Amino acid sequence: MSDLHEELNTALAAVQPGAAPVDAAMLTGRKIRNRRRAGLLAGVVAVVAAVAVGVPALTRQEALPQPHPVTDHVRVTVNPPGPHSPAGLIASGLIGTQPWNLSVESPTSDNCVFTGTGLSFYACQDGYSGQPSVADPITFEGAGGGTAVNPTFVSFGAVWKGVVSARVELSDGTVLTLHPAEVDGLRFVAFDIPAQLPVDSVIAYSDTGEIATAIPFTAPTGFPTFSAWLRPGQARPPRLTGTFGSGTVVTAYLGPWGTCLKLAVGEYDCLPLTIEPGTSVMGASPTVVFGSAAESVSYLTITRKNGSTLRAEPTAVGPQKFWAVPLSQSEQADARWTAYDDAGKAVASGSVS
Amino acid sequence: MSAESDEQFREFMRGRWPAMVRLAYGLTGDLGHAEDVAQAAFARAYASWARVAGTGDPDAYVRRIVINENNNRFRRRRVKESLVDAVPEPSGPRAADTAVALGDSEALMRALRRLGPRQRAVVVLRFWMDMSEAETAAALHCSVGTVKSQASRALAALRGSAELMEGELQ
Repeated sequence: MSDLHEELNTALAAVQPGAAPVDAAMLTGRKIRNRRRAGLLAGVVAVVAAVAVGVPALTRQEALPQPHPVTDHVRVTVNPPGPHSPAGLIASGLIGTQPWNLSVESPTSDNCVFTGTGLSFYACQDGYSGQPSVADPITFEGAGGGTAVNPTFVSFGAVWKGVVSARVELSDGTVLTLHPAEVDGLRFVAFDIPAQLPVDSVIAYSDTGEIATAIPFTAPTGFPTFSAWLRPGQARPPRLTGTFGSGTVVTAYLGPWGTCLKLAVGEYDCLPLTIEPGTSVMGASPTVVFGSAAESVSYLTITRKNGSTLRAEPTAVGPQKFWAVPLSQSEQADARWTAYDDAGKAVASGSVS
Repeated sequence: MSAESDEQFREFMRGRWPAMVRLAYGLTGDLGHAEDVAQAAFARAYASWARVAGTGDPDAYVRRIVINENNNRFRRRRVKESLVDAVPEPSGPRAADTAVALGDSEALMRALRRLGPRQRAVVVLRFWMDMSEAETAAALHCSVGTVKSQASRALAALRGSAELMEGELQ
């Protein structure tokens, strides 16, 4: 069996698949994304168009794009499951006169899936991965719901054991109270809101008082992204938007939600990030590598395997310096970065991948 | 997504499609199912492409979905298979039925197909993908001990299959 690897290599190399069904996969992928986020393709097209118009106009430290305000008040309610509710129900309620509900099936297994009215599915693949803690008391995720005419955004997540309730404040003054529901030993909360009715904040409470507050990043679509939680009394970081990059443009949104990045014009996802102190690579797309830089760093060089170099100039967005350079996926594997201070002295280095 | 992102995804899928189908084929033993699994995995990757590409290792993401899709497929198939007396021979590329030596690729694939899905997945991930026991355990959502025991049984079964087939011919 020592040659098993080679035997398998030979056997599997003989398998000749047909041409890659790229268009079919992209079509299915769009359907999945639309079910998650906006319900229908038309909604996504509108979103992309809105972002494409809005993003080029952004300049450093510019105000965040805001979703269009709701002109007509829509009554939104949320209720926990009752004693006769179906198994797996997390919460239900009304948006105007339209009922909504969200359930989870098999949250601890590979068959984990969230389903609900107007939400076809949200597969959680290998079991729900959110691991709530006192620092992250509700691991919110989001999905699209509702209808083409009245799209909604469902937010749901697992709840830390110390949380007894949560208070959701919407931008029109509506207050929703969430009570955790237990499914297969895990506790969840959920709420559904009309698109374009932003969430102002969510406060998680224990028996004795406030645990933490989350203020989400609100995309131009109205989709809320939850990331950082603020402890009671903690100052709310200011909302800042900035662009950075050398030979590429990445947009950073900083605020009470933490930091998220938009890697390309036209993207409507904002990638939540945790920034490590010092200088590091935070991530990469197939064409761009991006990272953070310590205050003392004046510039970085990225050295490819063939010895050629790229220079990255860090840019401060609020208190944090960021950098980005265009680097193809094949070049990222063996590339290294070195950070230099004002005097040209190397102060840090590492591998890109 | 932007046209640039779409083009990135197209390039990625065209480049990685054969490898993902081969991985799925190793796991399923059926080319039709393998292509279905791989296509579903790429579709899921495209649905979250900004995030997937941002991880810096989209290959690992798609590979993980292929493995999960396969796990789910067998879970669903198990119900149907319980209704018949004999498991039908999987479809897919087949060599002559007289191919026997373990060195024969098709004989190896036939032996692989006879393994249970978990054992087959352990063999493919451990001995073809060269994953460590810990990585294999994480991919299959089981313990390292389970990987060790499944690998041991799978290798014994593969040896047994080869010897049995050789014996039958003599």
